[in-house]
Amino acid sequence: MFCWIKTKLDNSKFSCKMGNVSASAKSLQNSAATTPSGLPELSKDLEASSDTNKSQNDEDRGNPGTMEELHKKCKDVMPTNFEGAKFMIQKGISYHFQVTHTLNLCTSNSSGYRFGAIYVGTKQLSPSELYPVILGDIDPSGNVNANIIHQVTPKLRCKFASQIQNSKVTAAQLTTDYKGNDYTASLTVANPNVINESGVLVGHYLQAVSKNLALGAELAYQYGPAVPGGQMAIVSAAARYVNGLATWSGTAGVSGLHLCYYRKSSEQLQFGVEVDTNFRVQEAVGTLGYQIDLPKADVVFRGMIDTNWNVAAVMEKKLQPLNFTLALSGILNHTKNQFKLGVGLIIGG
Amino acid sequence: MGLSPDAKERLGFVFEVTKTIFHWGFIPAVLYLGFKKGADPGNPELTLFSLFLA
Repeated sequence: MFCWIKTKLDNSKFSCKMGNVSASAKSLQNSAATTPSGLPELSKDLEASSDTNKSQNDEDRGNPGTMEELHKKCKDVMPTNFEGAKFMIQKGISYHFQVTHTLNLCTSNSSGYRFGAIYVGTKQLSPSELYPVILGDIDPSGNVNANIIHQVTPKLRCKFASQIQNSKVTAAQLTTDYKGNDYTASLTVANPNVINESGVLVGHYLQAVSKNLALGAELAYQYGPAVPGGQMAIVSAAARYVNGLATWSGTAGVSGLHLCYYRKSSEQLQFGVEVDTNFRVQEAVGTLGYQIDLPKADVVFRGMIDTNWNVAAVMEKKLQPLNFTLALSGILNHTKNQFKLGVGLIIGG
Repeated sequence: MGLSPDAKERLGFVFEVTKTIFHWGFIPAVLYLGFKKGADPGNPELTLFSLFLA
């Protein structure tokens, strides 16, 4: 999955004042999830890219990765649910070029056809990493998602993401990550608007304190006429502790507390526990998720249960020897009496 | 910090044009880059049909 596109403008933080941005950031995430999940070389690369950074300096503290990926391990075991019927054809045209055709049939407004294209450039940083990566998708009414990722130098990476809906730019953001030997500094500029002088700036700094422990801080700054007082800033702190197969990670700020625990129990089973509180809306959600890999059966199963009584699962099975993947998704809420089923077929990739 | 209304208007026009070019040019640009790169060595040349047919 193209998780690396996850242009996460941290979720809950601005949720009241900044509903728009967080909503769009979220939909960017979704689009990232629904955009071509194939191009195996690519997705591996990007995972590898963070891994190489980690293993590179194994003897000393090593690069801690970016703040965006702080909770990644825990998040990755949670299922990504979808609804309705989904049919996707991934067509690798050449090593540098892939297109996707997606047909989504569901009750939400994301229903319909989407065309996606990915171009991978020729700048080679390692045998499996090629840059720039340019990907986008468009639907028949002209809504476009565009992403550009480029590793400018071995230490500096830029990511640009934007979303255009109904001929309006609903989200645009540029993230620059600088990876030092034992730290990562990032700056994100989101939705800058020179005309009505508004925008969001987010700065991240994550430092590896020891081989196991990384500490970081985040400063989010929002300005604009819609913000009370014209501007506001939120500071939060972050930490991650890796202990063998287990990883603890957490972020804490004035607006909320987010804790994650991840553990790889065996080759087949990984699980994650997450508690996310938002002081502003006085809400807390706890989630338990797990992932089961059955390589012999070509099955990946992800399930979760949370304190809102949601029970959800996604099963992905490769239909060997055909190059097809079947995905089944179900999400059930007992208190609201809601059930959503999704069936997907992915060809190629 | 003030831009004059006139400057704002002109700036707004420039942004609008840039946005429109980006909006309708992005996907064609990705396709152009992909086609410019061409097929992998040893494979037949790319045509528009390569986008749709297996």
